[in-house]
Amino acid sequence: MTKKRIAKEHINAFLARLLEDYIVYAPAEEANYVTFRQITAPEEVVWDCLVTRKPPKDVVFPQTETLFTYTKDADVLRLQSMEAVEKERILWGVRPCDAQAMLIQDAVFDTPEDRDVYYTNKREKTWLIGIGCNQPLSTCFCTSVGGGPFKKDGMDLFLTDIGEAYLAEALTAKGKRLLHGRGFRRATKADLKASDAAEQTALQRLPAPMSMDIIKQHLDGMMDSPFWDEIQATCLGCGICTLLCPVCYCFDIVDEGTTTCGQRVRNWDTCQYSIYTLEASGHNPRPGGRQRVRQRLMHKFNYHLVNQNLVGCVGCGRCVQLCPVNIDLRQLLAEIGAAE
Amino acid sequence: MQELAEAIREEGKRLLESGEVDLVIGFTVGTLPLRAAPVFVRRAEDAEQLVWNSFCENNLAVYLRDIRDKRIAVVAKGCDTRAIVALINEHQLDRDKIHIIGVPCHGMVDRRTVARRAPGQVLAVREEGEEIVAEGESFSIRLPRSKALYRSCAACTHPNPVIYDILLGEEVAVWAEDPYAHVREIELKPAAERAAYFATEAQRCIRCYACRQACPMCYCEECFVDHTTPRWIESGVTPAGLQGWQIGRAYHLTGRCVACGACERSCPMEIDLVYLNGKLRKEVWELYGFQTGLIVGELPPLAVFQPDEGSDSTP
Amino acid sequence: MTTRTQSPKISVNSVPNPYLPLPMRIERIHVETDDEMLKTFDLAFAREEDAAGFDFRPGQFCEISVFGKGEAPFGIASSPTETGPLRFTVNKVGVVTTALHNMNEGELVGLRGPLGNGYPLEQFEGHNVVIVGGGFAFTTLRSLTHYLLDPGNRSRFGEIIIIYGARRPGLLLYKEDLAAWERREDISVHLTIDREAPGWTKHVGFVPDVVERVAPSAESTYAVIVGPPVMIRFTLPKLRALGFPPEQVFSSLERRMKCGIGKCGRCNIGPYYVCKDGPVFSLAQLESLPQEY
Repeated sequence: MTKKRIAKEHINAFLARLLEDYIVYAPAEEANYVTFRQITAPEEVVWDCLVTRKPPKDVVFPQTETLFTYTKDADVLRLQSMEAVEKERILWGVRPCDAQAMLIQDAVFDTPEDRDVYYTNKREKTWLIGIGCNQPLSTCFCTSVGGGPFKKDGMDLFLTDIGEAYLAEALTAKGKRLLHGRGFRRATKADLKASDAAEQTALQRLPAPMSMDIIKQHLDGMMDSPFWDEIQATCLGCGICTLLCPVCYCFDIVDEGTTTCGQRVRNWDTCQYSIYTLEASGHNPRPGGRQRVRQRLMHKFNYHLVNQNLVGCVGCGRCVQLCPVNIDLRQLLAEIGAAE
Repeated sequence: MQELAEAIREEGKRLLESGEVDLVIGFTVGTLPLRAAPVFVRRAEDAEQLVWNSFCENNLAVYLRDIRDKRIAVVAKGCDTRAIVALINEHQLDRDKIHIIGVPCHGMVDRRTVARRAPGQVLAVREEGEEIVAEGESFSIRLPRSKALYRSCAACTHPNPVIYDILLGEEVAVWAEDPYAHVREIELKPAAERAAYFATEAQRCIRCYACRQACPMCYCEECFVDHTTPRWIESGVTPAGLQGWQIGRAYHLTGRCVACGACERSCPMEIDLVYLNGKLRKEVWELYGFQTGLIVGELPPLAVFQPDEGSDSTP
Repeated sequence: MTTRTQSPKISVNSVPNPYLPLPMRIERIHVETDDEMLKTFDLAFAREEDAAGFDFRPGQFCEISVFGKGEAPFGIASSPTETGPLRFTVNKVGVVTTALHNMNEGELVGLRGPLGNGYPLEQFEGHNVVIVGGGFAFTTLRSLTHYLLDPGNRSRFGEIIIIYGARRPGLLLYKEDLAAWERREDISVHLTIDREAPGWTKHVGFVPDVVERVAPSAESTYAVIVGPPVMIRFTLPKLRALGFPPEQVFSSLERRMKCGIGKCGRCNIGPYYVCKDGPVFSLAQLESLPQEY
């Protein structure tokens, strides 16, 4: 579709125009790190952060969200669903891995039998303006899981840093509508060439892709493997790798309130907590760390392929960077791939 | 530091070879620069994996409670040994089953501080004397170790192991001038500002419970935050839920926190837990003159009751 | 997997919202067992239009809401062939079930469902059905039995055998139903208790042993077995010895659930979600899955 160029000096003006009409989320500073959060001015954007501390998933799937409020008296039950979404949102500067993660979540939440309206209503009003990754980090492995530093899947508009300017490519009708106004010029052949060169350079920086097919096959036979004991030995059982994963979507549903009024809330949850599967009787089908670390990898690299034909990982490396005991998913996958 | 690492490897190998222990818990080289990883070594030949450097940031005492059927050796810094003492005092560990390889600590380097000071992604790091050298594709920076320590390490009062079976290396001199400097800094602020500070810090919490899981003293079979009958704390990432969790956890650690900072290091949202727990540690110090995990047999003040003791209303 | 039936959903802006419960009134509460740990709740639709759209099959379950306490899944114990309220039998074990036990007739609860796949009735047609149940897990088996015995359905199935055990007589569910079934000619009912009790004239012994004693023929027969894990574990070898292939044995599983529609993640066993792909699985399926239940 349409490709244009916009000089870097004009990009903030473009963003400022978007801020007039949309709620905009972008990589921006919070405390001592950069995270994906709502911004109110273009200057807040941190352009050179590839992997934000939190992924943008909470824009469409908030960590805590009220499904409905209830009031109940003897005769009447009143439910007020909180599913309506008014304003449109833009994810600005979203990276290809995080966009891919949203496509995976779409496949889970937006099914023909049961549309999760809380998710889909937000998703339908969320537009993605992505940016390519000229310099992938050492912890990135997107090409192993079907992604790439310039993969445009899920994007409405995609920016490529070509030095003095960005090459802006519209990928949807919405993207095309956004791609106008002051600052945009027709892209030259040189611009396209620069964009290709950036992509080639980036790809060369990434590690050789692992085979997800082989990993899935090997996992089929690894339910009883001692491999899981090795991982769980040092695993602390915290929720960092899952809660900050852009793909992980498991949740809990809880009532907050009294028996006569309150709200039903959903919160992110994680398979890494023992209470996740703990039954009221005290029985726990996944009683130990062994079963829980296994569940995380099995779900992402085996079950997800069976059910959605998608790998449940986008190679962003957040779990690699943030694990307090340096359990490195890349290493685990390499070991699984090499297993007999 | 290299000699110390070699001494740890030798001791680990000797213990496994002689059969004195079944397992050595220590650190191995990390998969990322600025990281070391906890490792469980079960065979003498694998003791070669053991390392010691400025990135051995985890409190390994956290693993000891769960391994009840084995004789374990553990590589322990000052703070790790304080946790071991505190766990022994709370009847959670059997001293006889644990072989403590005491290692005097120079303080651990805050990987996040180094990463922030670097102009790009750090791809390699090395220690040169008292300096940390971090290198990336087009840069090389040097930081004095003392300026890159974790907040908890900068305030450390017990870098030397307080209990051990063998002490490797030379004991170090305490460097912290005021262990509560950071707490005092915040205490000086007006109440509203303090409250706002705490609220902002707590609001970043994602309830991953890494603080709890990394803490050797957080060992409740069922954490209060997971309790459902009744539920004590609101479930979501609301101010009530998050502040309730943070306050509840800090209070449960009153007189029990060993000041290791494992909570803050593990926190992915970099919440100032050193302040929160430090504040309560300071209160306990000022009220009772007590520091946790220094003497076997000495119970935390809130775990003892004497019939004639005073209270707030009857001083 | 069997196909799912359409469930009625409350809509806002015409898009169905699978998380909104229907209002239900507790019409009747019946103490089911002599230890009072099990109560049966008959729930009537508070709004007539909801009743019309509620179409379910035996083996499906619902999420019942006690507002302020949360939701929990319960198998539907009534049969679609019965008119009137929906029936659920609730074991007092956790937060929601305790709250339910404390409620009174006339009070309002919420209901989402029907959820899950239900028993593969189409497959059972033209075959004998052996129903093996233990303890308080007989709920959806009651639904199944009523369905099979319904005058409109009975001729489509062969011989029907029930083997149902509890620790003692007072812990058997649905005593009136059991008595009525025992009086019928077109079903054979074998009740058992663990140990001799005064006045008890039927089987004594554990369910697996009674299965061995009754020895139903595996010829053209499906077995449905629902009960405590230990009962299932010891009964399966007996069924195997009688010649039942794993494709002809079905069980219904329980797991902690939240959403009930295969999204929240917690009830998976391997790639299957108990809430969406189950709760009814064939033994052949279960044998290929990890033992996470």
